[in-house]
Amino acid sequence: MPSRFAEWVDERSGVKSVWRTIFGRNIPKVNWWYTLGSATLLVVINQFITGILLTIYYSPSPQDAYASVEFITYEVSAGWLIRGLHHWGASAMVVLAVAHMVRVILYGAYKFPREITWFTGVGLLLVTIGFGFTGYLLPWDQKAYWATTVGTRMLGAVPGIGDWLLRMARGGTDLTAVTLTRFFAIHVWVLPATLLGLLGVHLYLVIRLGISAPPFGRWKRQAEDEIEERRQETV
Amino acid sequence: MDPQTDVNPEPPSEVAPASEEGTETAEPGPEDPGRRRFLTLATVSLSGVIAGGLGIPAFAYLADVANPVGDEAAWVPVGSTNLLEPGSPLLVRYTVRRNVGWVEQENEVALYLVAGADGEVTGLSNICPHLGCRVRWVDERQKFFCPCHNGVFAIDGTVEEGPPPEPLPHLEVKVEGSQVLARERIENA
Repeated sequence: MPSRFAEWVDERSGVKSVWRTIFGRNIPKVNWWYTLGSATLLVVINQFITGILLTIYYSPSPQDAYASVEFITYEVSAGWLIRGLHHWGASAMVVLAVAHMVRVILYGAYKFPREITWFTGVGLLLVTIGFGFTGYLLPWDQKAYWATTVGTRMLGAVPGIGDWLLRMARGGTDLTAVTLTRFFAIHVWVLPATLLGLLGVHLYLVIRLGISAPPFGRWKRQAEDEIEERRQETV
Repeated sequence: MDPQTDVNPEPPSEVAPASEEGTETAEPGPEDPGRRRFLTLATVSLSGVIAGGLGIPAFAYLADVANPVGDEAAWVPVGSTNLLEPGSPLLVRYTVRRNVGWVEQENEVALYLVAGADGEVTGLSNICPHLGCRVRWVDERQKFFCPCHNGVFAIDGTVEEGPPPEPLPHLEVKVEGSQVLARERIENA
């Protein structure tokens, strides 16, 4: 039942047609493997919400980082839940993104005309790994410290500019307060901004191009037809 | 119509014709109203459960530090009665250590000790009840003045001029021998 307010907004913004384009689009009758992208998106939303909540009590300095994480975990109401969701969500995000990618590879869904969707997807996976790497340091415990020592040291193995890369990553020769603040900044500013940009293009293309039909069974012909049709259009 | 290749932002028709698969199989198509209503309801309910499951803890998490913790404050010596003269409030300071979040922090507490003619000592907060600026005693004028919005208080803390809605709060002090002891304000007792 359209309220007068909804009508008022729609008249000025056209929001209904946007809604229909996103949620009212037709999709082929496919299988559960097609839900992995949406599942990853749900985890991304979870990471944004819980991540913002964590920054409310977290303090990125060597003196305070571990104590503030302990405070969140053991003192603040539901802090254990918020941190737990962020912690396990991080792993889930990697697992789901990779599973989504495997589906796309096995179904050949990266092929024409969806190459750009694939490229942005690869970018999103790299961003996800970047999130995992930078977020791992933030509790500033022994595991975080040594994992980052080893992880940044790997950069040193790059021929020629390895030493410089190592110092760029650490903000100096050692793992210090400077490393912690730059990892924090990358984790909460650089990567989320990059993720939103790539995700915007990724989702736009998914909606613009539609999802691909599975390349087998009763859908096989349809998938082939689609590719042929697209090719004709662009020729 | 090929269902997944409709890229037109203006949908050509509200209700899409049944896809070929839909008509071939016996199960109801996506435009079946009962099925559609059920799926809509299920989606909305599940979204509500997720939003509430995260929203309620999130609120508790944010609101947590807004609740005062009733730490029993200790009596602290702040000065000697020998220093007090009637008609001349004395500003004294002491520090309290308290746990704030994950850090132990030193807070300075300041108060005015006001000696009465009978030797009784009262403690007056130096925090203006208007918007929290620090008031100061001006001996020549025999008044407390707030520098922020020109609040003026008498020696007993009552408001004489300006916006303060109430007098300067009285603080707990006691005299033991020649020592004056005070204890920290207990917020929202």
